[in-house]
Amino acid sequence: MSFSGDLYSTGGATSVLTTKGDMVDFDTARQRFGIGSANQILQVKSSLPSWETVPLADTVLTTQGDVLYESGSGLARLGFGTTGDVLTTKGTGANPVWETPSGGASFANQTQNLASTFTTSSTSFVTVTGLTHTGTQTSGYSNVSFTGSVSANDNGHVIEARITKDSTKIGNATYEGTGSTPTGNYKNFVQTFWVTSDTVDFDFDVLISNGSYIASVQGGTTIGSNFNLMEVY
Amino acid sequence: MKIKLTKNISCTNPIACTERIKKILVDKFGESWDDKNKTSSWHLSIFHKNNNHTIWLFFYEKNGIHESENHGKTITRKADHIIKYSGKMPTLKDIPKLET
Repeated sequence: MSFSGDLYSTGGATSVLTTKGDMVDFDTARQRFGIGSANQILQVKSSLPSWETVPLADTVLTTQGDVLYESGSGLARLGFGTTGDVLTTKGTGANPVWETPSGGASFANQTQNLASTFTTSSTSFVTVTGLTHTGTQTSGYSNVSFTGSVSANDNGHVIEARITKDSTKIGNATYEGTGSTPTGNYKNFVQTFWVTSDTVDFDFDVLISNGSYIASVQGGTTIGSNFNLMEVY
Repeated sequence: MKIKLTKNISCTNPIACTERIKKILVDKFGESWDDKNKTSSWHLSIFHKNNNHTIWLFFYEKNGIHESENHGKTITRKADHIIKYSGKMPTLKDIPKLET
């Protein structure tokens, strides 16, 4: 089968097409279906063809970092937020937004290192000068870690060590001295604990059980003694 | 009685440094520890900062009362093994040369 000439028996296409891009459709009779606008696509509406503008994502989004969402009346653009913002839903019937985050944990450290070694012949507790820590913490929740590196200058003689917080003992230990070698014989007195009071005042105290000998608390930044208070917000 | 000194001393072995200084003080003021009775009449503490040693000497003034320094203040605590220093209570000018 082949065709030639006007396909329409009456009222040929030339009678309804007037503009470049026009098409013919049929409702109750053949009719002109005028060309649409740029980028429109052909859809069916009410059983007839229709040129429609469809909001494709790449027509809504304009800038790197934009986010596409449904606004209730169509696709919408949420422009890129500010550095560090988080995307927050506002619940049913609302659009998402960028917000500055609140909550989460952050930390602040307060450290007191014993700068130089402290020695004593005291047979009752003495506070190790340079290894006291007084600070404040506002979050109400801080972790304190303490390391005291202690030794005595003779085998068998006992060093007693303790930590006090606001003059109250919160930890103690005893060690036997291992000789006069200045390095290698130190033992670490390690304690960790939580504090919740606003002001914290820590002391580290030592004594030697026999006053003929010497207790030593090692200072210095490499293998020293220190308090570290880590506040959790 | 507290005597607090700062001395231009440097050391690499704080224990040996303390032993040396203590011997000088024992020679001058007598033993600090009575091993027979387990009592103490004075003590020594040193913070071994290079070129700036801080030295504390406490000669006990009362039986049963220990003395030390806490946050810059002299504090006392009860301690049965503490005895009063029996000699003349030293002052700063009585301290012998402690530098090497």
